[in-house]
Amino acid sequence: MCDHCNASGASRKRSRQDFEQQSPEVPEASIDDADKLDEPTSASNRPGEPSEEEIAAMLAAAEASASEAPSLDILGVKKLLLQLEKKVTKNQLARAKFSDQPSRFLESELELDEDLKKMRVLAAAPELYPVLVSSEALGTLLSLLSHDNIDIACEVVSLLSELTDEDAIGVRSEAMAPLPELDDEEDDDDEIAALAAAQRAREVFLCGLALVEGIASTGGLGLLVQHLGRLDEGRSEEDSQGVYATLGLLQNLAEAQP
Amino acid sequence: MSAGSQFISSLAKYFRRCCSPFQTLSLRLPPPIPIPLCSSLAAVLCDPEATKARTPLLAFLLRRMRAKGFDTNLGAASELLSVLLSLGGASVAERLGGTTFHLPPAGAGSGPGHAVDGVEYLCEIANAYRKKAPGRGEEEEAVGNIFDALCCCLLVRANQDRFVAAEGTELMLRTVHAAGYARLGALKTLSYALAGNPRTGSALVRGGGLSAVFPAFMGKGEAHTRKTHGPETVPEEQEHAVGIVAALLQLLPPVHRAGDEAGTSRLRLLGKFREAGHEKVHRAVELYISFRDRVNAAALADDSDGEDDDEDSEAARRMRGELRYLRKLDAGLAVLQRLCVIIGALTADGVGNASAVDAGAGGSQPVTEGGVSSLCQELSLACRAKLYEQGGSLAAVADTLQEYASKLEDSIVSGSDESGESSSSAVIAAEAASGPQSASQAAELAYLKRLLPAIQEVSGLGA
Repeated sequence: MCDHCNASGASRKRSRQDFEQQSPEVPEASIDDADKLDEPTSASNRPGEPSEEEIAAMLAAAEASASEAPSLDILGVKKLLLQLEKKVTKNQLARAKFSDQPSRFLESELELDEDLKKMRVLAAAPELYPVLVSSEALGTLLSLLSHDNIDIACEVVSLLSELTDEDAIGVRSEAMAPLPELDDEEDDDDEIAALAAAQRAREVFLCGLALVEGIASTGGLGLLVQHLGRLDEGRSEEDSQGVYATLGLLQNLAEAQP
Repeated sequence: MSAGSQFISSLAKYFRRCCSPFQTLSLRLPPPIPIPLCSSLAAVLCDPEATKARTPLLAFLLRRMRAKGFDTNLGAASELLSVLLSLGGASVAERLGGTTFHLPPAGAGSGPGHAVDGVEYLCEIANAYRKKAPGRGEEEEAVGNIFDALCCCLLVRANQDRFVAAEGTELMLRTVHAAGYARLGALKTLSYALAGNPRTGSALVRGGGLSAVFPAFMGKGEAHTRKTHGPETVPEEQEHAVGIVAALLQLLPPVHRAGDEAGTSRLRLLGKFREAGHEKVHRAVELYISFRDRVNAAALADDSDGEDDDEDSEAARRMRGELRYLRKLDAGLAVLQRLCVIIGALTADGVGNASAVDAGAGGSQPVTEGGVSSLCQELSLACRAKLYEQGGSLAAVADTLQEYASKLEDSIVSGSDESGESSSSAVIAAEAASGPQSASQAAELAYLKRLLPAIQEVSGLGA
């Protein structure tokens, strides 16, 4: 049951998001991203020329994620989280070392961006959210909301808003409604199936709620409101979209835990 | 399958971590704010102390909603604000009303602006749509959200007073007169602003509100509402108009002496009912009859399938009673109750010697003018005549009011005493939404308690 849900959920997300992590076109996609990320941070960087090692690494990463995406399990999530932690540390080191040379830390920022995009597969398996909540990665993720590169912060917002969206975790009023009652006298398959579905919906929602409470108790609410204040809609289209995504995320949070 | 056990073990880990302090978290984070799990996230989000943001969320949202020209983010901001207000309850409403914001000047300039409270700010935002027709879809939704937010604010008494001080009543009346898309929202806002607050009542009459409200009561705005909001919103308009008229009859102080300013408001209101051959009295009775039939039909509908009543346990019977109540609510019980208030007030208020409503406040003091009491007599007669002509009875009106009063009593008690059994009365408690509304509920209950004996007396005389 779970495998089926994961697979279909994942394909739905991907087709909607144009999310192409499984295909070998990943390097190209990331070059596009390089163009986008390039503008605010550095004008001197030459995009479009990743080294051979990088290409190899990206291909390896793409293959790895291709093999793990269809059936995400606890190990898969942990791997994702570990990768994220590594990329964050790498990025911080690069930023500390070459604070005046954006071109030197840009690459690590792109990788970080990639990893954040990859984490969206989690939305197809909300029952694994507790793994995220119980790891340090949630704190790391939230700390990225105050990252110097506002595009990274925006990426975190859209990731979190996808994870807490009602498409992923359901609606409180439905999930927490009283479970259907079984008639004691006769075994009705439809009734049992309905009960199982309702129970699963409730489990999924509770996991979503765990994430929401995790975000709140880790100081995420303050960071999100501060992030909203950093965005300037007059500056760029990305900032406008960032405001939209942040407002949506705040609404998801408020509605999950009224 | 292993997924289940994985789920349980990861959940167990999560809960273990919840019990431990935050020492495992990354040092790069600001110190976490302990959030009591019982307080709603909506309330926390609106708390500038908790979020430590330079631009508090409410200020951000209001400023964003004030922006010139509609875009998607304005829609998102208005939606979030109305969600925060409806989920965060009184604490968010009080914060919004009690905070001073800087209202940017209406033009494109970015001057310092003048200081306003949140209620006045929202009124300013609503003012932009007084005449303007919003674009289809998202912008219409945003207008609805703005008025919803205002209504949530007005559940708090202090905000009702701020609303009156900010001349919100006048603004809403102008919006109703402008007869644009926002007319329905303005009527709704007025009915919320009136709930249990005599100040709004007299402000409304002073501002010429009777000429805005009664056309809606008479159903003259229905075609317009059907055109702008769709046919399903017509009953909503009816509900607001009936609610406003009932609240006015309840709130406006009785006429004590000639020239008494507060009393004149009531006189003007009663005068309206006399106009055009008592057409407004007749309308009230006709609406009452149609809602009575609808609600009775709904109450009977489920009686038929509950044949084995005596076998059922206490709990099942209570459950069935609750279901029936919900069904009646669906059929328009709330409107029926308000119509009964109108009919009760018209027939009994200010009529007869023991009519406590007129004399109640002042004891032997009131110098009731002959003209006033004859006006009351006239309306009472007209109302009773129409009621009997349509096949209604004052006793049935009194019964509905009695039931209404006991429901109000229950919800006030369960609101103040949270420990009441939650399982069975959950629906009703949720519907009554304890807290901010209880003050206006108490005022309504007090009025009913004075009105009921007066009705008994009048119906006794009439028999």
